[in-house]
Amino acid sequence: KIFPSLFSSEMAQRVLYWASGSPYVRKIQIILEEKGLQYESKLLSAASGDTKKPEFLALNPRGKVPTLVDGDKVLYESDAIALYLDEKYPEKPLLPKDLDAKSVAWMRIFETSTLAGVFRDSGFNQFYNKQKNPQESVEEWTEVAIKIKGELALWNNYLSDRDYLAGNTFSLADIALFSQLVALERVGKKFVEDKEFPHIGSWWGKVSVRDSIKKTVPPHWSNTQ
Amino acid sequence: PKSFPHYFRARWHKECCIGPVGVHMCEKFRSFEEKGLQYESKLLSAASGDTKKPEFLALNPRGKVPTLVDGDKVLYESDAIALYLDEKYPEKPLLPKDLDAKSVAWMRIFETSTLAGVFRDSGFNQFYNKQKNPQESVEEWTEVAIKIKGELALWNNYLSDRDYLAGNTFSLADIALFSQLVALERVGKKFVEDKEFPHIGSWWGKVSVRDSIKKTVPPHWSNTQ
Repeated sequence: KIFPSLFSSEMAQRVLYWASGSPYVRKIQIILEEKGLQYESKLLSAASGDTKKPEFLALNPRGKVPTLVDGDKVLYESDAIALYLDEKYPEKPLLPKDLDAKSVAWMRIFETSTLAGVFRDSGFNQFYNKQKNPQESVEEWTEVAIKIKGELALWNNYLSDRDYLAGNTFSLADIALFSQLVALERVGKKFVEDKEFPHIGSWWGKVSVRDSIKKTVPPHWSNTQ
Repeated sequence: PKSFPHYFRARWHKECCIGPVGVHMCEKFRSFEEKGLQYESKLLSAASGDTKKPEFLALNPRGKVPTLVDGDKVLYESDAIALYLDEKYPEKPLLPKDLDAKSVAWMRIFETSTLAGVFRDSGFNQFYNKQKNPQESVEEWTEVAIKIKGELALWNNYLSDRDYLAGNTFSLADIALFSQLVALERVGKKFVEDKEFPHIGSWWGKVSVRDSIKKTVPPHWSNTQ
């Protein structure tokens, strides 16, 4: 940007309230990077009660992140923010133009909620939150792995005949899936070496090296290991 | 002439099972009805194992309803089906054209998942599935009501300054909200008389009399009382 005042006014009009480690936050941060959109970053701490302070609840009565302010708009629900950003800033599109391919993208985006539910119900979230790892907590990990296999097999199959979830081009669906699956990588699963889910592996190899992915690693993840 | 889409819907063998399947089934019917779209109806019974039969799993590996076949497309995830129908058949639009209003519609659509989660976590779903009613199971109902009040207050507030969730016009957001809330009406709550949530009440008065709503009452609901 040539004019610093323009630069700062663009940033001031767009604010992202977020917390480190949320897959829903990650999804929006990746989109903002892919689109090259500047924004003011407001990192909140749930533990410190930031998300329940009156000034935040005035923006989002649900007290959740991500919450986006863009000009005079306030939006929450990560999928609503995603669809809004893609339509408002269409220069680097993240959804196919063709309705058939776009509906597949939509379907996969919303299916990631089911994946999130499997992580919750399988015990994976608890395993992850207790900062355990598969090498040390073998029995517990084995139980979790059995429960999530079926879900991972579905996604592996979705990627078996294509480069990206909605076809030939990277889309919001890949961002949504990556944002959920990366928690597995964090406990030690290496998708790129995975023989059981090889299609997720090759997809992972392409997606994980994108700048938008590398620039949005949660700060507290970078601080460990 | 439009192709005649085939549409799968389901009911549960147990009378009163609600949750994403039951309510989203109704939701999709409503979208079809609003658009005046013909479709072939395939009513499935989960209890009879219909949703896990190979021919259905070949269409939807998750074995869930609603599942839509439209020509050579197969779609699942009710929100993906909703967005697809609205874009493919634009003559009776169910989303605002203006992006700001449309993003509010999207936000409210996705927020209904939170409402569904509150129904689950408050015990309402269990209360409903056991076919209890507030007049007879007063203590249990009181506990549930306390837990869902906060959520209903949010939606009441969303409707306080407008006729419909996204503004002046009925949209997918109103369909999504109605499809969830109608379970409360089924246990006896009368929104139109509700002094605690009057904005939901006046909204209910307008929405519940639409032809699409009246034509899509689940068959097993009509058979009781």
